[in-house]
Amino acid sequence: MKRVYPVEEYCVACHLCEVACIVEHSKSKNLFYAFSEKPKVNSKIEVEMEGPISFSASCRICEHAECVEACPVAAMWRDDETGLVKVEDDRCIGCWMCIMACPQGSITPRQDHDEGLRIADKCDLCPGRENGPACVEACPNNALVYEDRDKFAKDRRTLKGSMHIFIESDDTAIQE
Amino acid sequence: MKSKYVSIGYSAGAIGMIEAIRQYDKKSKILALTRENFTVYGRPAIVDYAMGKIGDEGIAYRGLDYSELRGVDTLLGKEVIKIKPGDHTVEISGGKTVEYEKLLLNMGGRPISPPIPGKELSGVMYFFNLDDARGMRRMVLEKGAKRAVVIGGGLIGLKATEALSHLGVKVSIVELAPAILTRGLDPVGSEMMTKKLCDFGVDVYTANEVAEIAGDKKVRSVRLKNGEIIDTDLVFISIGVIPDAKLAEDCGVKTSNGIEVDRKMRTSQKDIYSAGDVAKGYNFVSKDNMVIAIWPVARKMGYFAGLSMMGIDCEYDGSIPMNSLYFDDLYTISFGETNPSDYSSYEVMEKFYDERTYRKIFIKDGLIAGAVFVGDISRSGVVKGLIYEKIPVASYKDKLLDKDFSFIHAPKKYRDLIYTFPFKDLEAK
Repeated sequence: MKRVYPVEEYCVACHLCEVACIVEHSKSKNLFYAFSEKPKVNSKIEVEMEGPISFSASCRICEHAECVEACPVAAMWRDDETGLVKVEDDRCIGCWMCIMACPQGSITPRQDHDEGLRIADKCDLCPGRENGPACVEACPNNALVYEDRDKFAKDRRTLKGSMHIFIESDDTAIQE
Repeated sequence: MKSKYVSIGYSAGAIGMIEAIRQYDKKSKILALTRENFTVYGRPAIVDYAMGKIGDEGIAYRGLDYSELRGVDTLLGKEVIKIKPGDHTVEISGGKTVEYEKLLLNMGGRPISPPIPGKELSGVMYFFNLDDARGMRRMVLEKGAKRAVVIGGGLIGLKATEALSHLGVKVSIVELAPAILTRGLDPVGSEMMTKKLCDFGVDVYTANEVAEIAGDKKVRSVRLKNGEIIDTDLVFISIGVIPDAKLAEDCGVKTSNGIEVDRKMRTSQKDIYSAGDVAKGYNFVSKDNMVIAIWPVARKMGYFAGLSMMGIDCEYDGSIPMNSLYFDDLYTISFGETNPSDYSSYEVMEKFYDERTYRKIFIKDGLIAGAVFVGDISRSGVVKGLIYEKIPVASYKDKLLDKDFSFIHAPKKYRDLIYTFPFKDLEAK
């Protein structure tokens, strides 16, 4: 399936992806109102920076999603047809088990004490948006791409049970 | 009655099994038996149910029609009387017999009932399943209970306390150990949680125990070991949970404080598998088999059991204890070792960010062995990833305490693995 992939060599940490994400997920969809809306809108993508390096990280939509596994009420759920992992806001009880389980730290708590809001929040790939995810479109430097790389993953070593590939040291093949 | 796959118990382990099987096989019959009168539900969510935040539809796993969605037959409110591994049958209450090809033992645990005098009085309860949550609501909302004593300051005790205080009940926690939550938090986290509880009007008695529950039919008070008397309407016993492995023992499955399973989740009897809080799964940090009684681990074990039951070659890579504990708006998340008996063999790093944000990391042999996050939990999962994938952290360990620590601090090769390609997982898709 198509996913959002960061290209850290191109990222200049301008944070426009975060802005685009907040605007897209706001009620008003307006840059001037989106940031003061109640309840607060979280950015579902986050720019990580360390010295000269930066890239924008969002949900990896793992094939074996540990967040889905951890959710006790199945608010975090993989759609059987699209394969997309989504949080169902109405079901979420804010127990943060998914945050505990996600090895990428891609899930953030979205809360507003006054509004009684307390749910897990993560990238939903902007469902129904014509031009694909808003963050990718907003990136001025092509540091975010939205593409299907599943075919590259085919030759990767099958795991014995670990949910991810990057184990031990034998990972040169994957880097190529 | 006949079914290819049968699960005794319908909770996280059974869900894992169902999800694994239904990825490949939409047709074979799956049957789930449970002694509870409710379909599969999120047991950790009973606290939200007791508070009234969610109802039947909200607590039921994926809503009330999950069984229908996955084509699972259910037998609710049925007690299993006997398993006959030789005949591949299970005898259930009401004289029925169920025939299976592959059986999953997913009985879970049951709360420990300590020998406290007076525990048979009305008003002495547990907080363990949905019925208990309903019982709590009935006692507080209909019978007007105003005060409660929670015996045991562990995870379940904390959850019972949260639900009770949310319902307006004055709670006192009595804990035998010198601090609460010793299994899930380190001493610092435990102290922060204790402070939070006290701010909320909860009385915490540590290094103390209930010597006697007194009353006439109904609970009136409890007497502590130090002689102090607390007047109360309710008593919740939450001193721990033990695996409910009696059925397994009776049919010759090898047990020792839990059902023994191998890495394919097989028990000592042919065609019988086990998962969940009743099974002793592999812990890859301590490198032994133990019961890790949490939802994600139960479900993961169930998933591997399901693959095994279908004849798919797989190996459970193990799990570690982890917890997401919270009270009101104080969140904590912990992984692995949090309270080691031999502190000296670990390199311990800790940091206070402000009075309610704290982080502690235990490092052993260049790998993270445990971690505690209090307050800010948002990227805690990254540490879990580092533990699970056994990624050495020695070269950037000083960054682990950075508030925004993430993969950007890890070597590029790890970052590439995460962010360049999709994760491939098991042969199972």
